[in-house]
Amino acid sequence: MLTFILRRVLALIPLLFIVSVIVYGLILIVPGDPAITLAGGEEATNERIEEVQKELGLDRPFLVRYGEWVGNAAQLDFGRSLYSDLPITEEIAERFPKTLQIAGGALAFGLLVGIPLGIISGIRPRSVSDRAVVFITSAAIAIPTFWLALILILQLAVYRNILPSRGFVPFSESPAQWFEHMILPWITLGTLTAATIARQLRGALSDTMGSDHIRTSRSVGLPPVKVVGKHALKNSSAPVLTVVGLQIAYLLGGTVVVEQIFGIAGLGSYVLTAINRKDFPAMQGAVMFIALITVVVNLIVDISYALLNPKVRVE
Amino acid sequence: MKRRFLVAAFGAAIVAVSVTGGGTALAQSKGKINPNARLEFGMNMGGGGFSQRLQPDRMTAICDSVVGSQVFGTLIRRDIKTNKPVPNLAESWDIVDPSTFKITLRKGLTFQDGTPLDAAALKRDIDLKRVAPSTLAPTLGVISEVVPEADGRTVTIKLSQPVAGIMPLTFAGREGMIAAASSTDQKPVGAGPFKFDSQVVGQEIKVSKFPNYWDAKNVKLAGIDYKNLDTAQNGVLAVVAGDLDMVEGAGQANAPAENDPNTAIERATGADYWKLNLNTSKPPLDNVEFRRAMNYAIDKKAIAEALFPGNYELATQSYPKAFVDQHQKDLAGRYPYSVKKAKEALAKSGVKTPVTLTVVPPANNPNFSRFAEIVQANLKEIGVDLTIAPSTNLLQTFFRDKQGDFVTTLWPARPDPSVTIQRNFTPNQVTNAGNNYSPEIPTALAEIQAADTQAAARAGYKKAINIIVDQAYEVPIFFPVLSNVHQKYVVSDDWQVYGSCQGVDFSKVAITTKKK
Repeated sequence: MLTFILRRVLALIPLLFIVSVIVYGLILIVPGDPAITLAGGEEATNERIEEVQKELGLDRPFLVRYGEWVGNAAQLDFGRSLYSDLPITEEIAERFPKTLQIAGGALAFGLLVGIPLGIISGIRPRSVSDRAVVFITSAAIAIPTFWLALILILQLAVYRNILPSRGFVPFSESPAQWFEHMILPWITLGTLTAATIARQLRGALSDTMGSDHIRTSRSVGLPPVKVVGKHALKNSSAPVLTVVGLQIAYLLGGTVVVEQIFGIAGLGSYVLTAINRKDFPAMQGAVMFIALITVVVNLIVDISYALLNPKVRVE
Repeated sequence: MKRRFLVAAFGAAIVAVSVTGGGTALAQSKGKINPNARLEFGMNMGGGGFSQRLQPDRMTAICDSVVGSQVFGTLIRRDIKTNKPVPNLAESWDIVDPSTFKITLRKGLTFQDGTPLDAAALKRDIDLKRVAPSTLAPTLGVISEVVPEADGRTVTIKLSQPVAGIMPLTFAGREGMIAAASSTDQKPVGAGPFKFDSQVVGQEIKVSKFPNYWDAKNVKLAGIDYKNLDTAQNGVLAVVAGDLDMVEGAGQANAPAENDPNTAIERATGADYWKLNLNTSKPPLDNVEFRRAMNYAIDKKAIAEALFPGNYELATQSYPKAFVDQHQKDLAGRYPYSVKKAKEALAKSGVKTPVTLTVVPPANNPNFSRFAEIVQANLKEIGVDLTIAPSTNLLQTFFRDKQGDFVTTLWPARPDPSVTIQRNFTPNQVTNAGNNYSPEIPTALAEIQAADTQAAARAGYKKAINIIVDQAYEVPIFFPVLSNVHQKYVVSDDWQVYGSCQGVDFSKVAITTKKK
């Protein structure tokens, strides 16, 4: 197992190197020059723009700048934001917990809703309940996040005033208000996750339910709860775990839209703001950080998968 | 059993969502003023319009001033209803001659850190702003010397060009926000009505009433909490839902508030206008008859109705009717919408159709693309094929790299109306993409800038606007009505709606005890 983990960790090094080249290379493909904005936008003179470009080091060769950046990034120093002038690592550290709360809650919502729906659907394929779940999950997958957010805001905040339409209250300030403010972002972001988990579990469970060992378990008189809960679910959990790993990457990316709509200053809105402002260091730092988190989560999923399935370790 | 329970629960949830009653009854206006109430104002802190740079000499985005104007105040204030400069931190000013401007501060002004705002502090601040790396250097670079007078409250500003006439309204903008020596982007310190408290970057900014502000007795709010939101539409929804006190409205986005019993909308006419900014050095746009054909061919009303239904004034020139010193009534009918006249002008131009042009709408706002699509349909009728090529950075692609033939854009007016002419129709200005101009315009502008009142500048405006319209240097479309959507418990007896991300004059706003 240790060798397996070591091999996986070592494989991350070239992966992160490639990611860092792509992330830093974004500066070459994103249109616009931050020097123009920093020099005064439409009021900027060409001379001042050139001065700012020199101040920012944008006149130096790409590889030299990349070398410096990657060296610092390896120590989690992403430099300073061109606008706020604050260390990017500090800004990420302040915002990431909010993103984690949104993504974590959405994942919990996805699991809490997705697993029961997957079980309802998977234990009796082609039944009425299965068809209902397939219909609901298909709709949930097809609905765009921003549209769902708008409908939820209109129905639950504007028309009925049950939940707040926007904003964030820290848990330490008021747990009740924190929960109230997080419900809509969780549902918005977690709906697709719930649907994906439900469908994945349905597929795996319906296959398992038709297998010999489940038939045997039933024939020896084991109660249905035990058959499904102990035997069928365990065998169906591996593909669901893979989906959960992939969903974490989706959830982190999905916070970009959700944080914007609900006015929450997390990491997703930080990336979007950085792109809007051509704040390249902030953009590179935040994207690299998200990539790092995604890679680590995938590593954890791989390890968990190996723990569940010894065949993976051998392969 | 379980299945039946789940189905029942699901059904109950649907029924519950469908039949639950409407919104809460928020307090109506009319009531006592609550001196401890804080106003929750929504604004987009995440877009390119807000830079987080809160120092006046470092601000780079138009929305930065919405916070800055409250923390710093301005030397002079522009009354939105009369468009006239009125005293603020400065009690008076004098255009001594076209190259000399004198300004006198009120007595006993202090910054929020306790240091005095006197002539020496004013000189220090203006000297900082007028040279690079200040982002105000392009505007204030015309100042050659700032001399404090013996009274300690007056400074004489010497100018390298005869433009003293524009100084009063120039100092009503970011140029007139005076920062203390201790002020920084993270903790701005000024002498305005509200003192900076704290900021959660991109999420929230809090300011509280500054008790030593010169007009503190008339400031009725205890503070302002600026809250981040993504779009005007969601902001208006948040006001209707009771989660925000006020947001800046925008055309169709205001719809949910129009008939809501708890909200109100304040409106004002501004000089921001939607337009086609043409690169007049590129053929066939270098041909005046072709430009006239475009002015005839565009259905301005269709565009305005699509973007700001019922909330606009159609534009015939660069200033709306309310700007009486600038607007030229006799030019109103110069380019009526007429495909026939457009085709006649096109024939006169000698340009062979079909001709293909490229429009570059800003990609960050779908309204500009809708605007471009209507223009595309209009121009098709006169044999002009239009390619739409959105850009995420207009400043770079169109104005600097000269890609495309024209842009669908919004010109955000500055406090001093002459800036519109200067930036768009005089040489060596970034926003004059073609760098093409009539030599008479700078002369007329000089006349405007040297005049000591707006009324005295009328003749200069008449000359400049006549040339701009006659030469069809642009296609002005419409002036959107500026609006602010607020709860009815937010009251004011003098709404000063600035728009363009400037909100309202918060020092004239109060909250009644009706706010829960």
